[in-house]
Amino acid sequence: MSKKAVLSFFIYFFVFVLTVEWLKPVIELTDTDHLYLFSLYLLISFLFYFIRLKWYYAAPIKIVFICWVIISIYTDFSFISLDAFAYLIEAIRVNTSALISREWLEVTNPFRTFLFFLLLWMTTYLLNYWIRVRKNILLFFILTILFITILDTFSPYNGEKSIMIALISGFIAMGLLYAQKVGTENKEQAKTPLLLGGIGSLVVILVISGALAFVLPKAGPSWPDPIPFFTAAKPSASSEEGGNGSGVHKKVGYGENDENLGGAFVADDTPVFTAAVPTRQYWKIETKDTYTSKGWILSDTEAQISSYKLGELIQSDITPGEEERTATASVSMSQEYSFVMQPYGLKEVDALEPFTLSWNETNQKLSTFNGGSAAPITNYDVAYSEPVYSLKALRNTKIESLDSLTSEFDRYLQLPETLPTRVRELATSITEGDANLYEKAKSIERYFKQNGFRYNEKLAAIPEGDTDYVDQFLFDTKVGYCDNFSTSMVVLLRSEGIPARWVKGFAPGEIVEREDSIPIYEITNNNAHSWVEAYFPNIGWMTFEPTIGFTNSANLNYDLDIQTDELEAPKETPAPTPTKPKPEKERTEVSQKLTEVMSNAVKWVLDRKAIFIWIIIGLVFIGLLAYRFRRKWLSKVLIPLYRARKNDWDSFEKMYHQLLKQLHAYGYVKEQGQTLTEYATQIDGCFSGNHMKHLTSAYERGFYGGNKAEIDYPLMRESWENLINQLSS
Amino acid sequence: MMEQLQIQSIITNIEKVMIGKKHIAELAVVALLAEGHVLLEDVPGVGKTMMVRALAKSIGADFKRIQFTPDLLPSDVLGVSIYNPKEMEFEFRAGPIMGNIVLADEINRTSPKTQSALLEGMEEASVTIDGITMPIPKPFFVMATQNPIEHEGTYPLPEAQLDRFLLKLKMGYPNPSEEIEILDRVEKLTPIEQIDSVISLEQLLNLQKQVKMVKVDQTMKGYIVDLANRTRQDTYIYLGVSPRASIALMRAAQSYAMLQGRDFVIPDDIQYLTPFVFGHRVILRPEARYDGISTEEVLTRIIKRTPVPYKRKVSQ
Repeated sequence: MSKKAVLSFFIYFFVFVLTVEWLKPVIELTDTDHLYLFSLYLLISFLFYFIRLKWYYAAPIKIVFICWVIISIYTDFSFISLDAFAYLIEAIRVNTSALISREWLEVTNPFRTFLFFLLLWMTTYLLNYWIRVRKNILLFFILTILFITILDTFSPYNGEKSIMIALISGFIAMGLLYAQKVGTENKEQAKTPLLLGGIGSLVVILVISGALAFVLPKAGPSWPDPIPFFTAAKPSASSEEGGNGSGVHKKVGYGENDENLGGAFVADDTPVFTAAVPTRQYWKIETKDTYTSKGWILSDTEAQISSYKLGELIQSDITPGEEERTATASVSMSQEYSFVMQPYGLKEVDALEPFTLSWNETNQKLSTFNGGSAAPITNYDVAYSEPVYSLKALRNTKIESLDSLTSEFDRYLQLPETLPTRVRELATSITEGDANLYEKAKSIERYFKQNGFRYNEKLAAIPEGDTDYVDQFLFDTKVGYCDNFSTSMVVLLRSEGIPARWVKGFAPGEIVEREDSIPIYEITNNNAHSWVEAYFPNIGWMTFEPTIGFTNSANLNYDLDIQTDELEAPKETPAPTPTKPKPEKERTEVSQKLTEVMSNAVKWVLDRKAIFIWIIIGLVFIGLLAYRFRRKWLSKVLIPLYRARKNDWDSFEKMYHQLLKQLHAYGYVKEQGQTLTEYATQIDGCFSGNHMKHLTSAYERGFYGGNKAEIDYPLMRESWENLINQLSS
Repeated sequence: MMEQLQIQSIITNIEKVMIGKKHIAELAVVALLAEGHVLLEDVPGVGKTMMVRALAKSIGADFKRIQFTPDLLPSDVLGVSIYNPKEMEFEFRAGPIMGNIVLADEINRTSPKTQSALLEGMEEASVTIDGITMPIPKPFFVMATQNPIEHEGTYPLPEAQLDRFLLKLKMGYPNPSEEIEILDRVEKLTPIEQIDSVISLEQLLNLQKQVKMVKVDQTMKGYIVDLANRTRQDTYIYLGVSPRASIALMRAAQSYAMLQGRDFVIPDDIQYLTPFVFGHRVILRPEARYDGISTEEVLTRIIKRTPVPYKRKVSQ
């Protein structure tokens, strides 16, 4: 190997080491396994760049490698088999359709792995560019150090060793790159002994200083470790001191006891069940009716239990939708639960084993029995037809109709005596001006999506002493998870006299695969969820989803025979007729509406902060690329742009200045005291021609001489295009 | 274009006599057309006289030569009124200044009194003797020379007087091949006797008129003023140029533009002429001399640093 090749080999090697230091924390913090596979991929990539393998050899090899990794991680097939091939084809099909239909959440894990590989591909490509062309990796080096140190400081990742490795390999790589640069620029200095001396001393200095720095005693940090500080600042920390035994983090999942809500949850992705179901479903397990100011219990109403056989129509207080919309969900349990996961509009349950079902109207739970005792059911089909609500009827839910509710709804209107009055006042103020019950419920549901509430499983507080769970969330913390949101909404609805109950179950989960185009959702303990059902006279029970980040809107039938614009903006008062103008009121209405629209817009943006940040990063990246490769596209843009202009002095002047600007951008700098003629001579010397001189003398004649009519503009345009083209090639 | 041809024919004519000094000939013509005067600073024998004579011959003008000596009196330059006993009255005898092309040789050898007589004549284009003002016939072009080597017994021209010259030129030695060519030419002939006039005095006067028609863009005036201002602010310069210098630069630029066949002035004209127009009008500080910096270098630096206007300002 030649001297140059050795140098370049070491550069690639150290940059590889640096890149692996990027990879390590990512893999560790995201719980991704198989660090060695990704490192191997990096190694292969850099090796290819080092031997300057042509892309049409390198790319297929890399793709095959990626496929092999995906097959060997996600399946048990051998790589060279039809099964593996079919698996890949299926993965491509599923993910492309998910991408096309913009179901971002439905892309599968193999596809995510593939995307990650693509990201690494781009990264190595960029690094190769830095190494080969720019001969400078300072930026990457600084970013690496920043990345590791920030992660080391603010996350559980321990980057002590990484920092050392990154620091030393980064410095060596930079030193070697510099040596290479000197070598290409100046043959004299590139002589081997000089080079070896330089590199050798660099390595020695780095190793000695690095080792010294590692070994020497260090002063303690002047700031305390921020992680405990952050933890202490969150609201739940104070309650942990309360000593009610909740210092231990609960694990997320379904549990029977909801007497003490609040506190942080630890994620748990143990699967609970899978369901093959055509559309995403909320899986209801049971409801609770009595709010204790700390949590939920079931009222001691006499249980109304009815028994059903398999395949029998189950009568619940939620009427299923139309017959022809009936669908079937096949549920396969991974955990032993002796009750049925109910999709909304449940009609009947079927299973192979001889189960009987017991429907408890009080808590809406459908328990399974086998041979007289409660028994866990594993595989069953549920027939359901999602309820559809008529918007017209919902609009007609009169507030007065609440008065005629029978006493059986009392338990759904229960509120603790200790409920602070400000909660009730808040309910009144939220629903002020709403003409019907549905609007009221919607206003309350919407309230959580706006007013600064945040979803966080770790920061949810536990109410201490006399503190009311709902009151604390609504007014003090505003941070929490589904229980906070759903409980608060039930309490607010009840404050307004609307019967409401608290529903427990599971959120739809994630699509893990498809069987005959029917998606199979996997529901894990992380999907345990709670939401709200509200009762409207003449309508029945209807679901609401107040939790930020979740959506489950009930099916609405837009059967209104009023104009659509009113439908979209139901809160508007009728527009004033032209004969009776009320400018004052209109203006305030307009300004109110504007403020509302603005705040909604801001809110909308803030809710999608991450997306926007990524979009901005993406745009910046694209912008940088476009700028970097402007030579490639500039002439294609500029020439047609100016071709559209007239052949006159004004456009010629603009073209000439544009040309000067472009020349300047490409490094042909015109000195301050340089005249245009001198500059033109210089440019023509570089481009071998005399287009610039032609252009310049014409420009001078027009500009200094004022003879704008005598210039042959079409000819000038030709010269101009010629130069712009030369500039871009 | 007519003008350019005529001017070029003068220069070509001069070149028949003067070898390898085209730029000096050009500049002399520039000064002639701009109705200015030239100060030639060089050692004797490099062809100063020859050039002036060639120029005079080319335009068919009257050529006078004044050899300045310490005992020369103003009347020797301007002329004198002599009592004519026959006519019983004073009769004016015109001095050598009353020519079209005047070579004032070694101007720094004569007394300031005589010097100023010449310079006043140059500035006013007329002479006043015994209360009678007489205009000097047009065209009027003075080429003064001074020897930079000998200082003994000389009266250096004061800065205020130098201002009267449009350009100050340095001839310099010819290079060896040019010198050989000179020898070739004079071996058998006297070249100065071989040339004839190429344009008439009327045509020359017309050209002088045309020079004033050459367009000087507002930005170019700004550029000239900018340059002048910078000489007034430069740290190496003790005394910057006067507004008369700005006028001179503009006039010279117009003339030079016409010589180049243009009817408008471009920055290149101004940059080219600045050292010749400003060179003798600035006084350097002693520091410049300690730093070994010449006037040319200071002016070149100023030109380099002055932004050349090439686009309209937004406000215009």
